[in-house]
Amino acid sequence: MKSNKNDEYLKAFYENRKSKNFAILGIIIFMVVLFFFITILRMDVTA
Amino acid sequence: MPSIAVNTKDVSQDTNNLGSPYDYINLMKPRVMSLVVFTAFVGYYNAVPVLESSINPFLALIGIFAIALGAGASGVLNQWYDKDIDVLMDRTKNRPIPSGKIQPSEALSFGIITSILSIIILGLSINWLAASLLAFTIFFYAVVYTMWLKRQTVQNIVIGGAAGAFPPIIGHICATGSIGLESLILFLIIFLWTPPHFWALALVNKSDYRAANIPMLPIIYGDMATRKNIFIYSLLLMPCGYLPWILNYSGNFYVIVITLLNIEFIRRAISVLKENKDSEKGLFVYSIFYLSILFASICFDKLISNL
Repeated sequence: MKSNKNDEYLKAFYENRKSKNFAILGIIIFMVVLFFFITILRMDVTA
Repeated sequence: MPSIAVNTKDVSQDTNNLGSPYDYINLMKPRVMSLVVFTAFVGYYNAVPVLESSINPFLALIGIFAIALGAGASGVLNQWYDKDIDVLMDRTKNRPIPSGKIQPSEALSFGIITSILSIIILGLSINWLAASLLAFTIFFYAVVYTMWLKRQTVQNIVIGGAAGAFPPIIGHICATGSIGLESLILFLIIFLWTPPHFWALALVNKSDYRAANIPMLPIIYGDMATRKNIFIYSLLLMPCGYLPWILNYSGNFYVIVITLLNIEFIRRAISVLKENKDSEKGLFVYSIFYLSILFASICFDKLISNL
């Protein structure tokens, strides 16, 4: 019984950690794109 | 999946306290963020004559995003530090940290990382003077106000109000690269607006502040002293509202709007002074309307003068 409960907790823990890692990955990708655009825009290609 | 020994109790705490994206958004105080973004935008837009030959509009948008992120980060750090008193107050006990939705350590990491990111983004996209002032604003709100003034002095929100008044200056620096007089006027307006706004709230939530042992004016000097101070600060705020017009930064549309806004503000401050029923709550709600319309009318006045 206790083992089942432990498994459920573990499952929930790994699922939550997985979603958190995906969220962090999303933020990192967003930052890469953001810094890319900042660099391009700061280059002032129209000048 | 690797085999590891895990304590059931620890795991249950971890899984329960990771927090949803909605909790993290709430942790950033979105309503305060929106006011900060709005006032920063007005500071920025007010510098339009210089702006015409200035920065790329997309960079300006990124700059506004960075300011919003910085405002949110300071809100996170504020909630992290105030977790012990937030749980004691009805108004704040449902915030993500006291309600157990987000762990304090997660909030602290989130606050520090978003603070650093906001400063870097603003520095790279706009300029480092604006980024420096954003860094100072976060420091002032999170450390000077939250960690020091809030629990030490009855003048907490008077001095701490400066933190909320910096965004128009940041906006102006974004547009011009320097601190202009018009942005200092906007700073002064928010600075003098803050005490009546927060003291009206303190009168409404007095029992909350007493429970948390925060030295707000009504707790230390009583209701009548607070009402008198609200009235005095309202009187000081009124002429400052006219400064953009007197110094020719705004036109006739603005002066009509500010006159109407001032009349109603003073009427409500007098009502608070007379201890009329629900007048404190009325002034608190109206003060938000007052500041929003004042800043919107500065923008609108600029817009019609440019047509």
